[in-house]
Amino acid sequence: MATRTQAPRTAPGATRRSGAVRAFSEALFLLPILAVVGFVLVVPTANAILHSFTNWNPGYESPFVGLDNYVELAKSDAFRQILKNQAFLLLGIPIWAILPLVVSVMLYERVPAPGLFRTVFFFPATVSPAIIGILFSFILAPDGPLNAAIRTAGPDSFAANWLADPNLVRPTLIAVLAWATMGTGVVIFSAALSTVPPELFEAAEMDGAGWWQRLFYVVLPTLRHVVELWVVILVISAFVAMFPWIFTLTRGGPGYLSTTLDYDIYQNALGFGYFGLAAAETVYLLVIVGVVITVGAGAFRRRGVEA
Amino acid sequence: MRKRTTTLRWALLTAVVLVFGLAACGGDNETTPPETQTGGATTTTESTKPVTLEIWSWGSPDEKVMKQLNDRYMQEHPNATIKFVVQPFNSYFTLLRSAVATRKGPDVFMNYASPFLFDYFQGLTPLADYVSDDLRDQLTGWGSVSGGLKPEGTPYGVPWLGQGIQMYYNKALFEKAGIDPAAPPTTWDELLAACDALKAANVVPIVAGWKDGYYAEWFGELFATQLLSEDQVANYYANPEWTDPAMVKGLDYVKQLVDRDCTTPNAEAIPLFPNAVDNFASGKGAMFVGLASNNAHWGEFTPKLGDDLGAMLAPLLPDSNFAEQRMNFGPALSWAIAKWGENPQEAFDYVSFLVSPESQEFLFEQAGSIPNVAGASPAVTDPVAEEILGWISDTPVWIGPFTTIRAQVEVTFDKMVPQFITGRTSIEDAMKQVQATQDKAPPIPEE
Repeated sequence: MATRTQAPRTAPGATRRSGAVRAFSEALFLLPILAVVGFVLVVPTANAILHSFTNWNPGYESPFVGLDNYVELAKSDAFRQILKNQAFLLLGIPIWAILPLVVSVMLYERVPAPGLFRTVFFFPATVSPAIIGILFSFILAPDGPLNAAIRTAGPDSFAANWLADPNLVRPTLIAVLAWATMGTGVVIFSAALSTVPPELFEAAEMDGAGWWQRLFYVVLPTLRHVVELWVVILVISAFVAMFPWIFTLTRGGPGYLSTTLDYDIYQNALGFGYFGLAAAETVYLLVIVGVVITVGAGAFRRRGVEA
Repeated sequence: MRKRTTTLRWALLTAVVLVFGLAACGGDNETTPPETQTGGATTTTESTKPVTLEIWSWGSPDEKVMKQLNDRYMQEHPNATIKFVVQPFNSYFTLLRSAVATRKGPDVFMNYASPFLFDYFQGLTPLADYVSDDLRDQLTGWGSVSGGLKPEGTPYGVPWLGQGIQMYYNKALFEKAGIDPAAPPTTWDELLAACDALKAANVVPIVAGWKDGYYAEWFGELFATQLLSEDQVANYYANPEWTDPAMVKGLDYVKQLVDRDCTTPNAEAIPLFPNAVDNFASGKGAMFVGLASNNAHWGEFTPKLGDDLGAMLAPLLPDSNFAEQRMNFGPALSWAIAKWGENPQEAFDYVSFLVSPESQEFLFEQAGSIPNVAGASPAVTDPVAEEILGWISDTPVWIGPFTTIRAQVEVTFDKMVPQFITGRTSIEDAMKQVQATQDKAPPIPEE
């Protein structure tokens, strides 16, 4: 006769108590990270938001000015130009995303000693953007090596003021950033590609798929999540990590044609002493990045469902 | 699907972290301001307690020369240690802004002797109790650093050295173009004629670098001021009107030179410092608007151009208000004592040493810095320097709107320079933006 054993039952009161103890102990584990997040994120952000409603004068009297800082920015031609610049920079995202992907696939499929190439491509990512910026300001100068090479190879008219011409400065920034971000993208995509079974590519090749077809129909769907992550990182960087590039390459000029939000926040705060205005601009930046990421993430999600 | 959602969540978290991190950049400092310490009454109180004074400069005059002065000061004051910090010019005023906000930084800092100083007002120690009547009499330029921009107002800095703007030219290149090197242009028409002759001889007539904006300030100082009345110039000191038609017209003369190809081609992509300055020094053009003192001046050019270096006053414009050519000259720099400093008397003793006739004579001889103190009579061996000093003493000198420009206004103007120089923005529109910044500038203390 089979003996059926029954797990000992605990009283309902005891279950509630043990649940509460467990919740409490879990909360204890969460406390350190909550404290860190609160200390380094929530408090300073709340501080900046509060000060955006004042004529903030750090360490000194900061009178309340209501929405004045926000209104002033909204009315400012310079601020509108800065927003246009940010939108223009977003046009670089496809280039900054696809270029390293293509290079990664080429390294994966076609190149001997891919590790060596990956190292070479990754090198810019190990150098400070400020140093690369200074390097490029020399390369792109009117009498710099790039124009010298162009003049040697072809007519003078192709030489240009890459960083001073209003029509060229933003595309030039996108090109410089394409070079600077490629290494990190290549490493990320190469790592992701190494987890894909080679049979998948071999099967596609045997089925007659060409290189571009394999890229679009095999690689892209397989690395979809990694591409999404990389795009999100790029979008965020286009808003909050432009400072060293702008500072070293253009100082926001000519005029305001290459000024970005993060550079303008720095300039308003530490250049002009308009800390309240800079705080309001930071809040605008926070909202804009939040909206762009949310909309972008929503689009990815919808496409994911459709796929 | 779940993995993708997780990825996106992480991405969103990353976004929030980065953006919040940026928001956190502006930390507040709610410490109570220390009470202003007003130690001794005059410049002669000598302290014997050991003190270390941190001094900030942007390297003008040259650091090596300043080191010699500092060494001399420390020999004379064994209790004092001078920590002289040369900050990069491009970051100097942002670092100073941070120091004022956090009340931490130098004991003494350099600034311009102009309303520029008052953009850091909260960090300035009022010096009324330190500055003696004798010192007021000895130094020129108190009106640039005192409350209400009046010489009798409360001083917030001690004016130091003099500065002027005029033109330099390369005699060898003038000769190459058939221009008499002993008779540089004195009028606008002569300037244009020289420009045409130099172009015909394949010489760049005027070395330029508009990218950082400063060069247009110097040109504007020389040209626009000629079109302003005495009252307008005086009014600019406290209440500038950058959209004034005379100012716009003065800058338009600069634009005319650019449009006539009288300046370095594509100079909107060339910064003044160091490129344009180096270009003139290395003979890449015939004329240059430069300074009289400290940098971008004869002290830098003579070693490279030798006897070929000449100096000239700004040519008179057709509608100039000047009856004759005049020298632009006024106070150059100032030393301020930080409000948070713990040794204001010792800091003032050090500043008093720097502005003394002996120190300024030494600075002229070593760095070409023109003194602003009575009693300084440095030995002048450079003929170009001698000529400039002669203009300062013999012609009616003036200072114009760009010498007295505010910090924020200068940034906006400098940003607009490449725009209006290349014609992408009209001068009128550019100056409207400059005026908008001027209107927002914090007020200068009345007393």
